[in-house]
Amino acid sequence: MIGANPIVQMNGLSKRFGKIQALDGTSLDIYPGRIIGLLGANGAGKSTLLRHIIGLYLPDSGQCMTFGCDAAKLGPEELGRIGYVHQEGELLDWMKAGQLIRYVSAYYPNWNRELEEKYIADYDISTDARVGSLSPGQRQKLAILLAIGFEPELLILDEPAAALDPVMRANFLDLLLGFIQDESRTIIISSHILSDIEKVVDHVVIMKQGWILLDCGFDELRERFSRVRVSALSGQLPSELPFVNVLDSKRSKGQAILTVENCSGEELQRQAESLNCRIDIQPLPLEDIYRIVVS
Amino acid sequence: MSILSVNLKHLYQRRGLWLVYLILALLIFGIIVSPLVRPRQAGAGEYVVPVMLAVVAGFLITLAQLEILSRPFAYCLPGHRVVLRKYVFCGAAPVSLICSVVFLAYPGLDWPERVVVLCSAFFANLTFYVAAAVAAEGIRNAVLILGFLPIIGIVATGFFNLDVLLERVVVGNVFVVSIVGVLSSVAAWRRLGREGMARSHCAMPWIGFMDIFNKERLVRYQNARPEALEKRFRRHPRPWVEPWFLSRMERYDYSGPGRYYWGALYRTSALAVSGWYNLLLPFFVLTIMFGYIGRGAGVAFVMLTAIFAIGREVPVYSTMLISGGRRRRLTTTFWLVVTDAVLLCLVALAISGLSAAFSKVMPAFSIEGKDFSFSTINYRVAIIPLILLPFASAIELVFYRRPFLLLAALIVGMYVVVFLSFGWYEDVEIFVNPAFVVGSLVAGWGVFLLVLRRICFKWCLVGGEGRI
Repeated sequence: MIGANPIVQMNGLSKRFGKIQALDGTSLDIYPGRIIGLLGANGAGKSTLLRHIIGLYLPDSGQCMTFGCDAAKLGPEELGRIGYVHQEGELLDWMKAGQLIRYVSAYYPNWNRELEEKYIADYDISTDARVGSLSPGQRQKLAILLAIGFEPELLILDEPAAALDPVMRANFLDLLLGFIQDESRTIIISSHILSDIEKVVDHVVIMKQGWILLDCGFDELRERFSRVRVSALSGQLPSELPFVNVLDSKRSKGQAILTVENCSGEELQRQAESLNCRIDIQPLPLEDIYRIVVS
Repeated sequence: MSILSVNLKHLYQRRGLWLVYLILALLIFGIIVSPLVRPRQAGAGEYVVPVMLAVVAGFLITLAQLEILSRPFAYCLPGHRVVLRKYVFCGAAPVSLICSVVFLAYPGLDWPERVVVLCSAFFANLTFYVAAAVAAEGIRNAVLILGFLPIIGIVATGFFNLDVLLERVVVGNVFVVSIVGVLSSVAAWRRLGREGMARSHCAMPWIGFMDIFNKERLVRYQNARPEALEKRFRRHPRPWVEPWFLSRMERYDYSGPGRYYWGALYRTSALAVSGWYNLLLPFFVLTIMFGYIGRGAGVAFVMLTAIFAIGREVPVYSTMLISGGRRRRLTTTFWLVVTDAVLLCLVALAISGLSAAFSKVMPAFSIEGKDFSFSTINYRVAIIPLILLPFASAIELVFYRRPFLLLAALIVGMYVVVFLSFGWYEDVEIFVNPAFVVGSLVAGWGVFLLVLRRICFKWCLVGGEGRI
């Protein structure tokens, strides 16, 4: 999808709730075919950003265009291309799960019954159970089905897996990978469980206090940050290691573990050989990258 | 700062309680100045009216602390498990004393006697205060009982003359009243500090003081008790309801307003439609009640309309995304409120018609020298919902996420209506004037449409402060 037009364009988006600046001149383009991980601490502005995309929030200043339309003016045709799983988990509690599925599906001409049946079977959703009496995990699963049942082009997931157990989270990630097989689809996923989302995302956006600190491809990010284990081939390591762009280092006897930024493998290898050391380069987990970027 | 002081701070930190203080202050003011209008009569029960304040205070003070105690973190805080009774008894003496001072003006007594009677009244109020506190602790969601206190008071005084009896006991049996006051206080002290009391409240789903006006909190409360939800909706909606609504939705285009209208009607009315027969009893009861109220039925319809507007869900503020945008939310909500107004209008006409039939058979009777006779309800009251529902709906939409202000607006609105009804006009004849009717309809629906349009196109529709 390289070269395609962005499906979401945010330009200088600002939003304030009382004394809290939720978004502060945020600009972001979202291109089709990506799985974007939206990361940030509580109150960083993730949910606010996502709600602007579907027009539930209106900006104080700036503009958000979704599918080429002002997000505030999204109509049934545009919203029919967007699936949304939200934090609040608002569903119609008095309905049975099956009734709720039939009710929501009545709004979408392209509702996929096969997908619905498969999902209900795979995720063990009891269609006869009252929605209000479902456990948080069951509610979450139902909310996900309602968001993907019409195979939206843009799927927005705001803390979708928080209430799921580890097995269900793994299944859910598989589901997302299956969903993205169609290259025209895009997923934006906001989550605090970074170990999960690093398995699926190909693009990362990190937010802090309404700002976007980082917006880049996940592969690029993994190339940028790496962990280097330096071991002395004989004796002790020199007291001063000559590596540059070291963000963090830990030493113990004959080895050191360094976190480095923007260092090529060849360069590190050459420097290690000059010190009579062996190096082992590993990509940094997303959780560590996030910690570095935010701090 | 002691644990008790920290907890007492909630009494002024909670803004929801300020409204209660305002109401209580007005009541106290009324009690103080009423002798200027008409002197109090000894032996008529007028000196024990403040006992209602003691009951309300006992309820509120206990509920305020129980609300904190029901939070799991409070259970783990040092000293919190035993703070309830200290908290309750902190308020006992001042409240009882304030409620007793009217006895200083009790006629026919010399000063030493007045002081003795004041002590008796103090213990009487103390008894009611601690009884209310124990009831609030023992009854689940006792906050709901507060709504029934005025009715209990009216029944107790109007039908059983308990106020007269209490006043006689307070003045004539000082020793007994004092003993009862002391014993009830000891019993309450033991009851509120019993072993396991804090545990029984910890993490229990709880309707807080102002939560009864907050739909989201009530839904959260329901969700916390799934077994109650299952029991409540066991038979509803009936199997025919879903296909009935879905078939109507399917008559319209996927992106057409008709589909969204029927969808919203399904979402908001399915349970009422499913249990339509449950509405028959209130329908008959209201007809009989309004028939005996007579000319005041118009005011009753005003209140009914306001209560209906507040209880009604409108599909404006919702995070559950279905493919309707802001424009669909506007059109759907507008036509839903139009539908409600027409339905209420038809209900009012039906009540009026039924009252005409009942008027031939309902008997006249007399209670405490007051005569009650059944009269036909003027069919013109049917215009009230058509005029007032858009106003009430506009207020409900504006204050949807501010239950405190919604309640305040409702109270002010009620005062205005009651003032207009009893002060200026005594009949529904005001609505006969075609110019007034047309003008009110245009103004009401115009205001509603403007407010709705503003909210749908300019406000944030979920969470937060909600407005630009």
